[in-house]
Amino acid sequence: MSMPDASPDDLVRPIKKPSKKFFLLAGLSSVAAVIFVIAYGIQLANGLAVTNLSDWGSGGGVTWGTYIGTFIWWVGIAHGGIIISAAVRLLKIEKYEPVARIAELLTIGALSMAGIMIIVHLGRPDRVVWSVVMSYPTTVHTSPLAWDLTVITLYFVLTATYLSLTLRSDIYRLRDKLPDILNPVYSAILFRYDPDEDPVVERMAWWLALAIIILAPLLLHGGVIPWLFALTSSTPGWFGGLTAPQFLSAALTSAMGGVMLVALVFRKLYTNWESVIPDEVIWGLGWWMGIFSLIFVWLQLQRNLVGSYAAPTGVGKVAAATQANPVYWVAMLLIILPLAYVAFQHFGILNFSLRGMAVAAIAVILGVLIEKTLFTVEGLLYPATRLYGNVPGSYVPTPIELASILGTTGLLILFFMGVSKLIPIVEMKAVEHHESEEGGD
Amino acid sequence: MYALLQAAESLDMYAGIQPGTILIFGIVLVPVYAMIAGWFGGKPRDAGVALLGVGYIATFVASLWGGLFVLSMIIYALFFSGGPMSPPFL
Amino acid sequence: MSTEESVKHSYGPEWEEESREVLSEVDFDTELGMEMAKDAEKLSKGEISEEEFYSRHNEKVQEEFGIDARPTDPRSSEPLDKDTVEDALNDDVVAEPVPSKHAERAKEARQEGGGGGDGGDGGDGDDDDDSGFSRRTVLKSVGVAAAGVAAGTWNQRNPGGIWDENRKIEPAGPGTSNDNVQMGFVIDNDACIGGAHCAQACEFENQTPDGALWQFVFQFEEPDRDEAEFLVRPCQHCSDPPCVKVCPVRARHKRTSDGIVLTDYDICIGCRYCQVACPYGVNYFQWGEPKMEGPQSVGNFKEQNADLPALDDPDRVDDPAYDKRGKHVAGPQPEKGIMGKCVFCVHRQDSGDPELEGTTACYEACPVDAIHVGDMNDPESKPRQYLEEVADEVKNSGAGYDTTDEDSEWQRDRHVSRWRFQEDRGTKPNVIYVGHQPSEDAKWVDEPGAYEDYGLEREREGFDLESDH
Repeated sequence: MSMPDASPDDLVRPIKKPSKKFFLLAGLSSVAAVIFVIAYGIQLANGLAVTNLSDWGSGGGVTWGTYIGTFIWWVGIAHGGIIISAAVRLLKIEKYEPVARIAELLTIGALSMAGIMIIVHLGRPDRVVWSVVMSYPTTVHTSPLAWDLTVITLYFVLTATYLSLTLRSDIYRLRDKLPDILNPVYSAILFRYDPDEDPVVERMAWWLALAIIILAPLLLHGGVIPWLFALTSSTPGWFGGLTAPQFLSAALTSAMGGVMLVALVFRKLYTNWESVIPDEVIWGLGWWMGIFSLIFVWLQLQRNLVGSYAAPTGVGKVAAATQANPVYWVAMLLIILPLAYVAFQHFGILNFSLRGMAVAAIAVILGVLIEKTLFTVEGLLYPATRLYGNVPGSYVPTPIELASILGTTGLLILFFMGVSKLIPIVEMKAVEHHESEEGGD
Repeated sequence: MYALLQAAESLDMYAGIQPGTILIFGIVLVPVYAMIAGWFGGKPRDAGVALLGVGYIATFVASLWGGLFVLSMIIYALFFSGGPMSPPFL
Repeated sequence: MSTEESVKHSYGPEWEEESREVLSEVDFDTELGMEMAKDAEKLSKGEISEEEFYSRHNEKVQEEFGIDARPTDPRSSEPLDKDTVEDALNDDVVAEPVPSKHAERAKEARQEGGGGGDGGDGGDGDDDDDSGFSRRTVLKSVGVAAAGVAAGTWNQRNPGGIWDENRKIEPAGPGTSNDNVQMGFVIDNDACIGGAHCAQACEFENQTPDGALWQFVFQFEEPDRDEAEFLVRPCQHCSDPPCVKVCPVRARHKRTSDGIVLTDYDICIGCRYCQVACPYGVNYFQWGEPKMEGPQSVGNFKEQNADLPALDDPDRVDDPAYDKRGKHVAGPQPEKGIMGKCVFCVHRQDSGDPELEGTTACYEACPVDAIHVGDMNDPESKPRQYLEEVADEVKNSGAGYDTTDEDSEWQRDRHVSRWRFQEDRGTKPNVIYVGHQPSEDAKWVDEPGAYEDYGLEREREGFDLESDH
């Protein structure tokens, strides 16, 4: 198949007039978002009693459930941004340049959704900013939640800064192709821009990528997020050193899937985008998704074996309950089958297929969501105080809780659609490399 | 509101260096310190652009928490402002 | 469940059966005992008045015990006549070969003679409210009535001394010489009969909603033993509380003046991390809107605590929901979206009323005196003194126990062993238990339904506890 090479014109195509497909997608996402807003309104009016959460222990329920599981999931998906950016900028793997900005935008969007999940989870969201900020000097010393807020803020802000800085030269060079109506936006982005700053900004971006690659995987989803769980000895299912690697491997798996999905959607929506984001990018993302999911599955093996062999009673009970739960195995299959699929593709047993990759990405993302929520819930159903262990308890999410998953997904899609109408979502240099490879003009 | 201020400085039993102190200021923020140092040091150097970068960071922190504050105030006004234990506006 | 003819008992069919068995071994009227217990419960729920309660069964009690030492006027300041009561009871009670600490203490009380003067049991101005009974007199009556029932059922443990003058307590607040005060509990699980009066009193005192069992009683069984054992679980008011450490807004804190762990209801954002971090499960979230009136409501709390005297301290908002620092930490139950738990009846500790300071609702309500509260750092405090008695028991425990008999060893252990709950979590809990420590295999035998028979709900509103998991 011969396709025209990718050019800067392709980059600005999304910013032009929206197509029918675009409106359809926007419409569906808006419906999801509205359902979520209504559901949340009901919850604000009636309290968290509308969920199936309850006090653990004598109350027989779980107090952290779908909202927290979804929160972890969104933060996990957000890690795709730095992985790609680090590969491109620090390791100079140019292959992934086309998806770098998409991945960074995914970080911003997914972290925002994670923030929304926290708001939804709280009993008194109206106080959260004041209470947290005023007590921060005290709480930062001891509270894992305070640490969590610190690092999420840092990741968000550093990624946004990275995006802003690297966007400037692209906007400058594409300015005449961009619609005039959005001039105020572009002027703001180009605040105090001078083409001489480009090499300086390149170096600053390098430092940013370095800071984030240490911060995000090692200290956010491999750090403060699992530490919320791993540091509480009251829940043997959570406690321990294995929790952080588990969380990180799950996060990176779902992040790769997320970046892949968004890239595939944009390829589908706009003509000639198969040359903007060539097949080899999808192939590579699939490969990394496979690697991370392999590590994830390996860590699940650790967890299950340690919990089943001669574990202390608390750990043993949680492991047994998890293994007896069909939902756990559904989640595992949703991750193992895509892993097998990617492996077979790479060994040449199966042909590369975009549709197959899309299905694999969706499966993996769903699997991680289910596994994270189950991890939260099972931990609370089997607390350290074993006297409570005979209390019958269970947890099934209510429609209002499920609406938050649907709604935040819809909001993320809307976010991407909105941003793609404002700025080019693929970096210029990705397209320029194509031109130079072909001998350019 | 004043009570909240008092709470922040009130009798906290965990005074002094705690795990969080070392974790946040001694580990998590180290990449940030290194990054800022890298921006202002090394070549090619341009303090103006580096300051712009710092400005971006500060603006984003303020917008993030400011925006969140506005959202929380909206929630307060709609659902929690009728006084303690008031029925919701619906 | 029991038929219409037998006495319907809210303590559950198992308790009823057990009580009947025990009662029938004794020469007292079984039915009378059951009736009195039923009425005591009605009284605590407010279904009948005090006068009615006391005037019922008067003839029968006279007949049965030879005396009705229960005052017919609850506001009478006449102390209960220990000697008369005790004589009447001793005539019929079977002597018990196994010495129990309660017998010891009762003996001491008798030896002290009329020491202690007028009991704090009489109304002392706190009952001046004519329009209804105050919380304290209700609790006293529950205690008195239940003890009356216990007279019949309880001969195994307490041959004589039911009316314990030592029940009134000196305040263990900042007045003591030790300025590093740490309030805590000493709870005798061996003495506990599982009546859950403590849990009921706590709910009544704090007007907590359904499902919020700030004070809770486990009934458990060891696998190789057919004996019901109990564990009373209030908040442990730990000295290294994980809930304080993890709170992202420092709403949960430990008061330095007396070591009580409290939640500031004006700051809490309802993240429920304290609930997750606490190994004991003492936190209860306010999932829905609290009720404003009726039973278990905000209005009720304010009403029944309206008689708390105002302090001269201008910083204290004259509202029992605020403690002496002016922080909103006490009942009524917290607002929607906020976490609540046992507050060590801080509204009592800060009331300025010497009768109330150093007491809690659960302590007052327990008919068998299993709960002791006070300053754990003060060697002269009630809980510490109780522990010393137990220590004496250890020394004297040779008598009456056959150390070659495993069963006897186990019984001895149950009477005297002391421990803290899950001490290895590193939380430094401030509750010391006496009694048998539940092993790893101990099973909670209570079913969800049975707890409701105590008049307490384990499910929160709008939530179904499923019976199979």
